[in-house]
Amino acid sequence: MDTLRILNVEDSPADAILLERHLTRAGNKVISERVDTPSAMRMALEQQPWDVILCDYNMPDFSAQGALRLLKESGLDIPVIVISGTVGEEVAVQTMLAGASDYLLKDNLTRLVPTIERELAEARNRRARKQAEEELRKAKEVAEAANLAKDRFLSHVSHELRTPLTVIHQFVTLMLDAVLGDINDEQREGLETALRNTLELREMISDLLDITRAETGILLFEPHPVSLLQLFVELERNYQQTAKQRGILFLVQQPRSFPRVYADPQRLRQALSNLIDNAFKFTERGKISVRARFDDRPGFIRIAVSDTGCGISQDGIPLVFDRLYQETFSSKTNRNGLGLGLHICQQLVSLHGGRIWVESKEGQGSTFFFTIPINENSCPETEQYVGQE
Amino acid sequence: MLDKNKVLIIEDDQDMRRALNLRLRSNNYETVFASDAIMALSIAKREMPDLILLDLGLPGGDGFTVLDRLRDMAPLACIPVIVVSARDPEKNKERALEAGAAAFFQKPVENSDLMVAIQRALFQ
Repeated sequence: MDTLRILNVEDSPADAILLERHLTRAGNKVISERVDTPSAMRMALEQQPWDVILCDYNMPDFSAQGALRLLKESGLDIPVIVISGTVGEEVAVQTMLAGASDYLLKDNLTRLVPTIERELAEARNRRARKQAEEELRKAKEVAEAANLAKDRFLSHVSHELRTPLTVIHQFVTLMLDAVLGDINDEQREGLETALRNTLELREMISDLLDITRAETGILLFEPHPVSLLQLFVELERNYQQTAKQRGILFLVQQPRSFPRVYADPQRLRQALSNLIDNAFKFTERGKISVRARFDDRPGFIRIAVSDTGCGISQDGIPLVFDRLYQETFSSKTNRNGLGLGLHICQQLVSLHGGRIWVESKEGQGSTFFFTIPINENSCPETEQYVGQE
Repeated sequence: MLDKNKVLIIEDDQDMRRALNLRLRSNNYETVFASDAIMALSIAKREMPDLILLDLGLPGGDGFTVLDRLRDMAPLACIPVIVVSARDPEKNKERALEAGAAAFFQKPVENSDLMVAIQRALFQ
């Protein structure tokens, strides 16, 4: 054992020497100091790091209770072993409750050395645990700060990207609308390609910002009763032209007899649009349909978006909702976006307390399902910010 | 022929100003410009436009400040303002509408939507 630093709170010099002798006889090198007043103890605590405090129970100018209080005030973590000439179970219990580590009798000090050894080991453990906790807390702080910095950066980047993109978008549409003079068919085709790509870029920037929002917890979620019929009518109108251009049949089954769902209309529309956009992205021919029915789980409506597109490989199915996941598609599909769309969908659906899943056969098509609550009771919480706790 | 409606474009990006100018003129609007928050108010007072397109990130002050000041100036208070900004609508749309904007569009804005909103704001 290293040198033991003992603070003796003891009015009798003879008793202090006796205790010290006990320890040296057991083979310890001891540095000790004897104090018997609060001010002397306070000074001793400030001057030296102590391994253990041995404290007499009764002194003319001080007491074990006082010494324990004083130690507590100092904030130091030093084990205190109270030593007394008198026995008294009640006194012992009270002293332990006040923070003493153990209670020994002056005329039976055989337990002194093992008690000190045990207390020292425990104190070392406490210190190690505290240090580990502190390190963990610091690491967490650093990680959180880095995450926040990353999100701020993403938010800044997406804002900065929008300005030049807007100008490109404006001039392309000005030319397309022949505001800057007549254009021929070839020029029109070129400009339409430029426009399509501009819009793709715009969507990617939006996704980037959405994911940042969802993960920093600033995505505002305000559910209330929403008419699914109205939303479906709107979607049908929005996608009919795309469907026509692509030669794909787009069917929306109108849920006329349905109750209202309890949802944030903007988030619900976003989730559905993401799924429909995806369907169009991966479907060359055939049809895309949107339907709704009551879910098996009471209190929920199940919405399905089906396509006759390229489908998802069996290996890919469990991964499609992961952030940044990309299916590797045939060479015909040359671009897949950022891989955030379905991850955002999943976040939006779980925000409502619903679930999302997919059934798919490679080469035959996919159906994405998600559930949405009918009333407030099934929805997790009204008006909340999501993201980190 | 009827008088053209006059639109004040408050926008610090020169290219964007030029684009909006071309777009609005082709839709038969007269245009005037301001490129910072300070000039915006004096130009608005001088020109008395029928409608204002307002960017939010401006030199010399935030677009929201411009909006507040416009609402406080008696002759300008009733001119409809449409905010067109690259900023996140999540944080800014509601604030703009509460401050009295007629509409909020995030850049890049769909021109047809913007034109409809301008028409609506003018004839309300």
